[in-house]
Amino acid sequence: MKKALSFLLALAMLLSVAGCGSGGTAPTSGGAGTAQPKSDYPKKTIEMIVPFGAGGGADIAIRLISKYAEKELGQNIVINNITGGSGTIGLTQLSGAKPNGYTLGYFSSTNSNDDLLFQGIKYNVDSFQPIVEISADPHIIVASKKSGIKNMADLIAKAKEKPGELKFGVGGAWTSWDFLKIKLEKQTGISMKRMVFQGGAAAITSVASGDCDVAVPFVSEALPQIQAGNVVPIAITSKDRFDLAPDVPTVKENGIDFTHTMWRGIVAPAGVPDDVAQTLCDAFKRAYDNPEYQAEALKAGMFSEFKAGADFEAFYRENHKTYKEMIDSTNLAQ
Amino acid sequence: MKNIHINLAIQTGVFLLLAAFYTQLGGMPEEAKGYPTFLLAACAIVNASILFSDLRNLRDEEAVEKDPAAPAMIRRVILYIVVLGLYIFMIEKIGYVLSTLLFCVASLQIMRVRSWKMQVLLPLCLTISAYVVFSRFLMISLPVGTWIHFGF
Amino acid sequence: MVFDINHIIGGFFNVLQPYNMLICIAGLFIGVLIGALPGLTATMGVAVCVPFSYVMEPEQALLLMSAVFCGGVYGGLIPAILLGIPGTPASAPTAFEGRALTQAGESGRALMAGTVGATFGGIMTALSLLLFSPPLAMVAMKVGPPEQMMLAIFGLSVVCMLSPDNIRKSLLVGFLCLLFATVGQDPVMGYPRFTFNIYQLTGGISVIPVLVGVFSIPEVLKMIENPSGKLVEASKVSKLALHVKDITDNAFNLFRSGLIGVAIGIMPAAGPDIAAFLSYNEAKKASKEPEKFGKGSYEGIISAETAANGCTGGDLVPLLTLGIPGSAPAALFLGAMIIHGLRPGPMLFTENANVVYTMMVGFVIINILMFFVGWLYCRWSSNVLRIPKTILAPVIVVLAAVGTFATNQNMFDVVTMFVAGIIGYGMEKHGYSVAPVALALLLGPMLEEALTLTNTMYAGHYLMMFTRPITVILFAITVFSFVYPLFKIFREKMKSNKAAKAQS
Repeated sequence: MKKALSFLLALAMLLSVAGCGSGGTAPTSGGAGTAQPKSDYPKKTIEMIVPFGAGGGADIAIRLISKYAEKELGQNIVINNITGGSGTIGLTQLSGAKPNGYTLGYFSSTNSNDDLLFQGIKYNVDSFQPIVEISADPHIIVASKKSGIKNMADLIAKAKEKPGELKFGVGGAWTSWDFLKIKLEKQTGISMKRMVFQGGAAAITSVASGDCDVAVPFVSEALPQIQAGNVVPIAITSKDRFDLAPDVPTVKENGIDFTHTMWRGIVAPAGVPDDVAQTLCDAFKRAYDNPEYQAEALKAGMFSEFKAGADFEAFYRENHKTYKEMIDSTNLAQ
Repeated sequence: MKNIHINLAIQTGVFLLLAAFYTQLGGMPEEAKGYPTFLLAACAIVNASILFSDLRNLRDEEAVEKDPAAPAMIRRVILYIVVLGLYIFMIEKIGYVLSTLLFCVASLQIMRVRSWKMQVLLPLCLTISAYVVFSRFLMISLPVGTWIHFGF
Repeated sequence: MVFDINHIIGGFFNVLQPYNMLICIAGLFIGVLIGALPGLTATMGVAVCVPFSYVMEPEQALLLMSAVFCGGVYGGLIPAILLGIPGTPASAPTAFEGRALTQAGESGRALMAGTVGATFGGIMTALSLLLFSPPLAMVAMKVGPPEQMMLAIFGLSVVCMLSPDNIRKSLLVGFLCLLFATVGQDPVMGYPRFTFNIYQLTGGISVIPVLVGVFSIPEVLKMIENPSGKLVEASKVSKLALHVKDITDNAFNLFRSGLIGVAIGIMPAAGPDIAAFLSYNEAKKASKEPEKFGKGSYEGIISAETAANGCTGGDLVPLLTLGIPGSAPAALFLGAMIIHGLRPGPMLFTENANVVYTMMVGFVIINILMFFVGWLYCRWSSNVLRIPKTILAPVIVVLAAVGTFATNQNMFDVVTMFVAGIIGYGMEKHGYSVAPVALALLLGPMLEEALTLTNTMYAGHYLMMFTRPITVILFAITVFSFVYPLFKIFREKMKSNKAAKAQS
């Protein structure tokens, strides 16, 4: 009994030493911004639910902006990775949380239609209140060296030659990748074979080894492979070229009027009071405008774009409609 | 109950489980169906094989000498399992702190601990140290309960 | 980029700076503790470090995470041997052996044997990371769906090997667990299978809670069966004893297990737990005393721990060279690196050579230090055997419950753990081995995904699969591994027939 106690004491001491040694992230009260919050929100730690695993694109985006937003809000933001079900488990938990502004979550372009894409989903587009959008990440179309595809024209030619045979890797069922494929096929009149991998990393590795012909990873996933020369970059699906990959043309430049990005944002459960929402919007805007954040986001491969408040709400609804139409037209609903 | 009867019960239970899974196959899209169907079949085959051997041995099996301590032991184990279940159920209802305290006391009781010191000190130490480490240091919010709101 | 001596030396001196060394040691202490507590895994330990690492320099952050990672994988060994409860799933085979050895009073020797194995495996993997990353990365890239499928099948075939006397029951458990692994969204269509309208099952049955439950709860319930006293008699709490014979006898075992660890490490989606089981199985096949396995075999412990710790460096090879995270801890490293402004991939070795080499050299040093930290922990923890069961039981339950909750902040995980634990107890009481549960749940998802993809790739011309070298190798090993035991039995029968004939 004594030994157990002394062990526990030793443990507590060890941990506190380690805790002190690294300094922790205790913020100063009042925030670094010039505007003081009008209400007494926030007065305790804010929980941020990320429905995907730590280290992934979603997680990194949220961690980066939270780092700066913490200072603006004057409270810690604790990231909680609740994974599973292609993001639906975390979002279900978010939709059921109290709308008092102390629980927020990550949201992306396809999530508002989850109830159509997957069975048994209890939330829908109205369950959430959009707060801010922080980035709109494009995809880079890459091809394997084996496939012999060097540009968009090759891609379309090869796909038309053998309809339904060109292997197109997707990073997960019904993610932004899938929708890109649907949009592209519709616009150019081709059809390709869909190979579903678990995560962008697996998809791009497959292209690198030649098992898969084409994939559309995000910039951060694609860059190392492109730099190593293992895959052939074809085009990027944003409006303009990307600074960190200046040699990759846009799809538009190749003559096809096509852009596709996956936007990332933060939402709260529906019913958050207006002043709380406003405080959050302001804080995130100040964090976003911080040039240090911009630099870090760029290095992480994020395409920063910002919308907040009513702007974002309108965009959110519009986006929902667009994706809903796509899903209905291709009969994906289950 | 002879051992062999328990075994038969297990095999039957497994078959019931497989049947429940089978009913779910209906709504599945084709691509998702193939692999689980194969597994269901494999389970059914192996289970049937075990069942037949057991049935064949049914005649040969002799009654085993009953260990006199067994019923008391089984009662204790089942009671503990119920207490475990209650503990986990209660964490969300009355909060982590209270349910852990209660669980420790219950555990000590079932294991027939008589000393008063132990029955007070252990629950307190365990609950508090676990709370400190997880809630303060690892910043994980432990449940505070929906029926009785008791937490920090 | 291969053998950059300047950078290696630079990294070496960097690591030896006092603050960095302090971080390595503190990280090891934290990591081993987290690994040793049932319910908490190495991945969780690394996840906890990430926020703390923000205020540190990049090298320090990476050193801390590496130390916690290596320590975490090692830490599982301690409760596995002392209590029969693996602290992390990778120590499950160690638990099978450790239980019996502790009852026989040899816990000290077992702990040291395991520690030596772990250190050896750790150093092997660290050196592979430092010196052989580029070629290993090339191999990692060649691993595609057919290879993963073969690996999964090979891993599952281990189920048959591990309990030859009760093959049918093990097969049943294996197939049932593979079936449970299909619960949740299927990989291709995202259709939620077998969820019976419980929405938490949409993501499938979480593996770690099940493993925590299946390994800890039965041990606790066994304590309830016999609540008096301590786990072993006072006379049998042995001191730590390093028997050099254990090392020399197992020299080949150490090398083989280390290689298995590194090989599994570089493969995506396969981690220390799978490496431990595969290595344990190989050791059993190669052993001169296979009947000892399960009843207290040092070979078993050494093979499992060496392979498990041999995985850690390999896990990071594809990450550093290609930016591909092959496992949950690697994904955490990726996240931390990006937040610190590092971008994994080929540019990493030129743009941030300093940081990378400090981490890689640090990895070697950490694994050497791990021996000493481990030794200290083993000394302290042997006292656990002196703690009466009445205290141990609730402590283990609370730790398992809170630890499981902490991973995903989800009570459903805790319920899963509990249900799995009760079923596991029932299984053990009626002759069903628990090992297949771990293997099937860990390999099941990988098997189905790889199977589906292989099918898409080679539909109609399956034999083309065998033009891939690694697939052929894995296939050959699997076939051999099925055939060899049968061959041995056949040879035994021939011998006994001959002997019977000679007598008559």
